[in-house]
Amino acid sequence: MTATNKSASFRRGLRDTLPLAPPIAVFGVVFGALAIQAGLTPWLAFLCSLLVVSGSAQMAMVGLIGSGAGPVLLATTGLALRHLPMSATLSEMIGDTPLLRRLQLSWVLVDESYGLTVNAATRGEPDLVAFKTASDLTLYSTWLLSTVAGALLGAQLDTVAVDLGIVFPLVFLGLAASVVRTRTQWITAGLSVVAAVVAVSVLPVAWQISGAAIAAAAVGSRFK
Amino acid sequence: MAVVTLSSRLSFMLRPVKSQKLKDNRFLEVFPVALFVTLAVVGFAPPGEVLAVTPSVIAGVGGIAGAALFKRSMLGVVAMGAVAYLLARLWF
Repeated sequence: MTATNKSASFRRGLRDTLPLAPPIAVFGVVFGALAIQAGLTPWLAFLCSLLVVSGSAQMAMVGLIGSGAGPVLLATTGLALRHLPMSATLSEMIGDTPLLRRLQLSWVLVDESYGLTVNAATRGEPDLVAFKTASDLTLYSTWLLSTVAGALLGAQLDTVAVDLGIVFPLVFLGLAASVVRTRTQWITAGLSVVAAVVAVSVLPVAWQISGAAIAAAAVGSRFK
Repeated sequence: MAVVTLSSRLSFMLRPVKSQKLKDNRFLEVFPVALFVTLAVVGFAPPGEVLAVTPSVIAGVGGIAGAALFKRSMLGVVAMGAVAYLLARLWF
C-alpha cells in the first residue's frame, strides 16, 4: 500500500464522515445531559463515552439506570450482538492488518463508520484501514467532545426540545442503497423491512436492531 | 458495559479471517444490507404506531425516490428524504 493511497483514503474517510458529525454531536450533547439528569457525574458520563463508544447502549443505560445492573447488561448484550457479524465482515475486508491496528479499528466499530467502510469497500477504496481510521477519529472525537458539552450543560438542557431528526435513518437508507447489488441482497433487504416492522412491534427496544438484522440475514442468505 | 461491547467488537478482529468457509459465507455477504435496512426502518418507524403514515415514513419514501433518481447517491437519498420530510411536516 503506497503512502499516496493511504493519505488519499484517509482524506476520503474524513470527507465522507464529516457530514455525520453534526447529528452525532447533537446525540452526544443529549446523552451527556441525560446522564447528568439521571444522576451520573460529568466524569462518569465522559468515561462512559470513552470506554463504551455506543450511543444506543449508553442511551439505554441512562433509561434503565434505576432498574439496576441486570437490565442494563441485558440491553447492552442485545445491542452488541450485531457487532459479531460486523467484526467478521470488517476482519475479512482488512485482511492481514497487524494486531494493534485491528484493536484500534475494533474500538470504534460503530454502525456509522462500519457502514461508510463497507460502502468504501464496494466502490474499491484502496486503503480501508486509513479510511476507517479517519472515520473513527472524526466520530470518536465528536462523540467525546459533545458528551462533555452535554454533561456541562446538564440540567439546563431541555432534551425533549432537541430534535435528532431523520438524518441517521436516511444515511442508513443511503448506505443500503449503495451496497445492495445481488438478487440475494435485494431479497434480504425486503426481508429486513418485514423483520424490522415485526421487531419494532414485538421486541424490547434493545433487541430490535440485532434481532431483526440477524434474522433477516440468516433467512435471506438461504436464497440464491 | 464496556467489556460486553468491546468483546463483541473484538470477536472476529483479533486474527485475520482466513477460513475460506467463513469468506464464502453468504450470511456475511447479506448482513450489511440487513443491518442498514433495519437501522433505517427502526429509525423511520414511530414508537407505538409502526404502520402509520408519518413525516418520517414519507422521508423514507423520499429517500428511496432519491436513490432511484440519483443513481444510489448518498447525498441524493439524504437530500430527497429531508425535502420529503419537511414537506410532510407542513402537510401533517
